[in-house]
Amino acid sequence: MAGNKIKLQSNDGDTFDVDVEIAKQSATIKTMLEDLGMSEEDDVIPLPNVNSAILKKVIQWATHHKDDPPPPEDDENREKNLSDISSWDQDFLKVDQGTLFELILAANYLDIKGLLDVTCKTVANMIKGRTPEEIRRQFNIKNDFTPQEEEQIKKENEWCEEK
Amino acid sequence: MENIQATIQQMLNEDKRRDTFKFLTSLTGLKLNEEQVFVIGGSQQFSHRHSTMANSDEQQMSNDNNNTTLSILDLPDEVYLHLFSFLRPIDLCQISNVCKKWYRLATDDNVWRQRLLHDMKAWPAISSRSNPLSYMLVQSDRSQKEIFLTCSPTIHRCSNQINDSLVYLSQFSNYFRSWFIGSKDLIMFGPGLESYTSPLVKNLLWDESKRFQTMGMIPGHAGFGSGIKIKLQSHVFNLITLYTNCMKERENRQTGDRLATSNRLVRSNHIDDFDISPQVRDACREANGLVYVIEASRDNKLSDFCTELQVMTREFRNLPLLVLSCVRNTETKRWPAIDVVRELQMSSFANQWLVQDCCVDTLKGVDDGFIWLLGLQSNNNLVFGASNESELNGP
Repeated sequence: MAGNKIKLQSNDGDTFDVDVEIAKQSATIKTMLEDLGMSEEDDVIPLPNVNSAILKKVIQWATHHKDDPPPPEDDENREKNLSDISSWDQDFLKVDQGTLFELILAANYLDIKGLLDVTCKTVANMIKGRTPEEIRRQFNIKNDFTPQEEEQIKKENEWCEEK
Repeated sequence: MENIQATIQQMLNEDKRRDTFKFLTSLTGLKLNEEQVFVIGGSQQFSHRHSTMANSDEQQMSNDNNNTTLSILDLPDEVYLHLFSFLRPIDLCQISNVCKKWYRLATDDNVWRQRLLHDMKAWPAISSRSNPLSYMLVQSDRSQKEIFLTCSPTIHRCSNQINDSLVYLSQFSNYFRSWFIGSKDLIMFGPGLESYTSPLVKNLLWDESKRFQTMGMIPGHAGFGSGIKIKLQSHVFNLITLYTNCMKERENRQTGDRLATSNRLVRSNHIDDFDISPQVRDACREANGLVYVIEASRDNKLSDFCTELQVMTREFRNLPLLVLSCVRNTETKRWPAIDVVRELQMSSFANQWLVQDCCVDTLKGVDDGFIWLLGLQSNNNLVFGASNESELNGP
């Protein structure tokens, strides 16, 4: 089986040759290959939700992580693992926000748990410990609350602090 | 070839939709109907359109990032749920203030229910007031977020600070009370005193860290109900230990025989119906609190510890109860406090109680437990009322 390749096609028509084992990190592709029993080199898998630039990055990530053990189903303490991002992944994810969110969407669509986790962790790190105003500025989010609503929500949470 | 491609394409779309559906229903327990699933599919088409748009001119995308770049608000709900699962509860409170979409997602009942079910396994102490299982039992109409914030020991709510200062005040009064009225009697018993965690008593007696100071010994009557007089912070109390038998007989006994050969829990006419022996009733007459010791190592079955406690709490239902959920040392794999609450069926107890994780070798957590028990202020009257009542009802 080793060395078998499949072709992945992005939504803008580019095709990429990828080792089957690498592509199978995507649960979506894995299910598809197994359901259709595809293995021939000619078959092309179209990925209508992913563009070339992002697909290239996804393949790059999957290639680097091809020997990783499968991620655990339920991490014992997720929020504590936030800082637990390998330096390779940190460098890999030094991209603009738009690209980061596209990677998240692609990881979600292709169902690649490891990539989804690490991208979401990266965004969570940008949120953690910030005030709402800082978060709005960080992600360019418009405050769509009326002043009364905002006051109400503040009240809901103001007596909460960490021990 | 084209056919296959079309099939795959269709499958991808359908598959994803089905997965999304599965994901959402499993993660959130939501009841989605077809229409809503369609909406989810729709949002994906939206992001698809977006990425096509962004891709159409990558150069332009990086230059002009106001119009075409994907925004965090374009992420679908399912991704947000995953993203938020990495945040601490305190962050989830903060971010509900960002915008309406985030408010909806960060206060979602299913997000908090999941968090509660996951996090409560790590809580080292759970009391009758912060018992999440009781909310589940009565199907409380409080939001899951509210329940989480009320129960979680990692969140400190300002509204509770008033109570804390009351506790502080009462500590003073306890101290003076112990001079004038005498110290509180706490009854310590349970299978943990007669297993691998039995050194607990010895370690309390000779505590090297000096948190527990031995003031004297209490002889008991006819070899029963002996104990130690201990000073802990401003509290002085009598810790009376009840064993099922003398040491030698305990050592010779098979583990399963504990209840059968017990000299404290006497079998009555009915099978599985236990009653307390007169000498226990006598020893507990003046008691102000119960301390139940169990060995919470993973090797033990927690439900085995249920009967004895049930009998005692049924008899002394007005006494506050401290459950010391012990392991010998920190390396031992332990059951979390929430499993102790569940397996000992504590949600149904009328007593005020606290389950406290502790370690016998270091006494970590033991002092926290006793300070909780000794600091209960509103209970002083209740407790005395209770012992009177049990006297009246006694044989």
